[in-house]
Amino acid sequence: MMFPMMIAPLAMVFLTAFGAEPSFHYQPPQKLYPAGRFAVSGVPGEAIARIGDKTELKKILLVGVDPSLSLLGTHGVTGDTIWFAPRFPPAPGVEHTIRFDLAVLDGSGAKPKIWQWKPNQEKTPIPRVEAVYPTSETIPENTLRFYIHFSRPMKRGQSPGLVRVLNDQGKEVELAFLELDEELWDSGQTRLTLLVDPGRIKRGVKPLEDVGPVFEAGKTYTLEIGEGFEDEAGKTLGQPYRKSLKVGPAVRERIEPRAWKIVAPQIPYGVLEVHLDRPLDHALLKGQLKLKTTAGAPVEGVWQISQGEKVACFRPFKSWEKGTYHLFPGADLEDSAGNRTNRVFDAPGGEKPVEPVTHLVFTVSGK
Amino acid sequence: MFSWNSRRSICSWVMVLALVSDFAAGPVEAEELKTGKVELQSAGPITFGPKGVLFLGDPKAAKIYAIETSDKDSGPLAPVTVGELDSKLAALLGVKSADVVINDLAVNPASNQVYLSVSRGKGPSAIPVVFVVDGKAGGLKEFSLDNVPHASIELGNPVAPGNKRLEAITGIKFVKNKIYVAGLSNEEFASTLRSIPYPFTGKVASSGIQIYHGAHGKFETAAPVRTFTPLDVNGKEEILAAYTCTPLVRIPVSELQDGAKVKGTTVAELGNRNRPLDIVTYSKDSRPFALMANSARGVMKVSLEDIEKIDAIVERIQDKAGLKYDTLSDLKGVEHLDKLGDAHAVLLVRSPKGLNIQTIPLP
Repeated sequence: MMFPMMIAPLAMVFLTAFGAEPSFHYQPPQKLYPAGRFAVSGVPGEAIARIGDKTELKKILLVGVDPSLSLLGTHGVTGDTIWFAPRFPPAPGVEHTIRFDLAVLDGSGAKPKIWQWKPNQEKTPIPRVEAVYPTSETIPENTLRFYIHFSRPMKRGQSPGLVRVLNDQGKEVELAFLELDEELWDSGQTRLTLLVDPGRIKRGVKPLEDVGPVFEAGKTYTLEIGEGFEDEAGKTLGQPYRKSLKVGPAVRERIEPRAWKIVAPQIPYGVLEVHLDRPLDHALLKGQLKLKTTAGAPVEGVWQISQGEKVACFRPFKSWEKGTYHLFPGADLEDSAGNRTNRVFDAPGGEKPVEPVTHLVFTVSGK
Repeated sequence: MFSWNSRRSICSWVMVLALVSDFAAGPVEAEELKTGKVELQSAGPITFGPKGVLFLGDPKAAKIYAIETSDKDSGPLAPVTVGELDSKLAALLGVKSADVVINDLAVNPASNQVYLSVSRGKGPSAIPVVFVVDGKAGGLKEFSLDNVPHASIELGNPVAPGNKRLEAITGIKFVKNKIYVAGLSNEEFASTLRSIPYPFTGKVASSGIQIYHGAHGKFETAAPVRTFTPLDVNGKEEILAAYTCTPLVRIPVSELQDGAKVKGTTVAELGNRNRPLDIVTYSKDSRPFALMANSARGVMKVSLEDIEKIDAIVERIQDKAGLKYDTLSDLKGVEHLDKLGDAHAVLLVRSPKGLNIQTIPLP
């Protein structure tokens, strides 16, 4: 009985020794604590002197997103400050509870102090959908692939449920996109690739025969990206993104580079224009078109795709020289329905690929 | 070449079960490991070699790490049970439960401790973390990679960064001083199995894998092995590989030479719209089985007893064919599994209330 009676006043002493109660603040990351620190300052010296080991520190200062479980991290004491350095930077927008309980030292039963703290979400704009490819208003019935470009890095695993195709009655087209083991994101997770189930595109296969195509020519659909789609920091689109898709006839012909029209530049830093025979795959165009001089030297520069992916423009890093150039369409170049220069996407089995044109020639005359 | 038409000798399946489960405890030279920080870019599939060496696949970096855990004191074999695993991990990592991804689970056979390969976050800057489960207390602690003896080896020609890079490594297993790594490369046959001697010598033998997928009625080389297990069929080392849409395929280890194009032998088609998630082999009542968790088709107990007798599937099939199996109706939501000793399995189970770890006797 004696022990608690002796200790109880001590708790009062701890809290009032310096005329002010301990206060909490978050210290931003520094070299010594790269994920920042949760610090409770103004702890009375008598209390600090009584701390035995780190086990006691863990009981005195508990920082968590779950009020009863501590984050991973380390504790320490510096001057009149008891601190907790988390293992990872506090997640933006997630509420943290800081529980500070000096009664651990004296068993006084004095109430712990509890603070709530939420790291500001990064001062980044809310994410938005910047573009959806194909951009053309009308897409072929057998469109295979869509690209969704976001303005911010997004989280994986959200497309099932949040990316939908709706028919003109507003009803969801079931299983429109292929169920993939891993979503197809670029390295920065700003571009999501969606594949329409090829089983509902290829002629003569069971899903197409059983449930029909995802898109039917002559109808209008909506590609919808739900408002809850989150970026890496947990911010959502806030409102759904919708793109109307008019559907035209299927395209089941090889890409024909011979039908491309090349407008050659006539000034040293002029733009080369390649007018394609149809809209081609936006992502593939940039990597699959190569330019070389007659001597075989690559011509480096930047491709820009416009006019609903029907025109590819090239601006070289160095000025054009007068002479003849060669444009090589890569073997992996595809249109939005997966057709290539050497074969149709769903060519009947046994049909051999053809030898496509290897390159196109144009002249920079400098007139 | 293994002959499909060869008759199985009486002792063949005894051999199978004798060799299915154990890797030979060959010498592992720890001298090659350097102590320091393991700088992971991502934490993918994990497995263990002998003496507590953790092998961890980092698909973003396209590297395999060998990490000396010093965790080799085998305590009494006890069931491992952890409830509310996702909430607990989230609380330790300081994020919402939805932002915790468990990429793999593996039991360290030297200590019977369960390890988890985890991502904190789902964005491009997700942080890889390894956890150890304290089976008795149901607690979790981080396995720190800050200062551990380790070595690493790069996988040449991985699939390009972007779209499919996380599939550069889909599975990893250690057998008889070699690590086998499944995943995607940028080669003509994207589906690749790599054989890597350990301790690392700098050599990686990379083979492209072709299989006949009966459900699709064609040969395939683009899709990666989803999960696999070493198998010893009558003294021949093989790999039993499972693919999305669920063909099970035998791949002879002797053919996994660098640059080889290896044709697997399809011995089962277990159903479409399904992804196999994890597989182990074991023996029960002196008969060999595989236990396989699936995304949509539950946990299957597959009999390997007749694996030599099964005719290779070389024609289109309508539904299922090949090896016989039972679906274990009382096991739902199993996402990963590994063996705990010879008679138990540890399961990572997703229920409506969240994730948990359970231990069951091997069925």
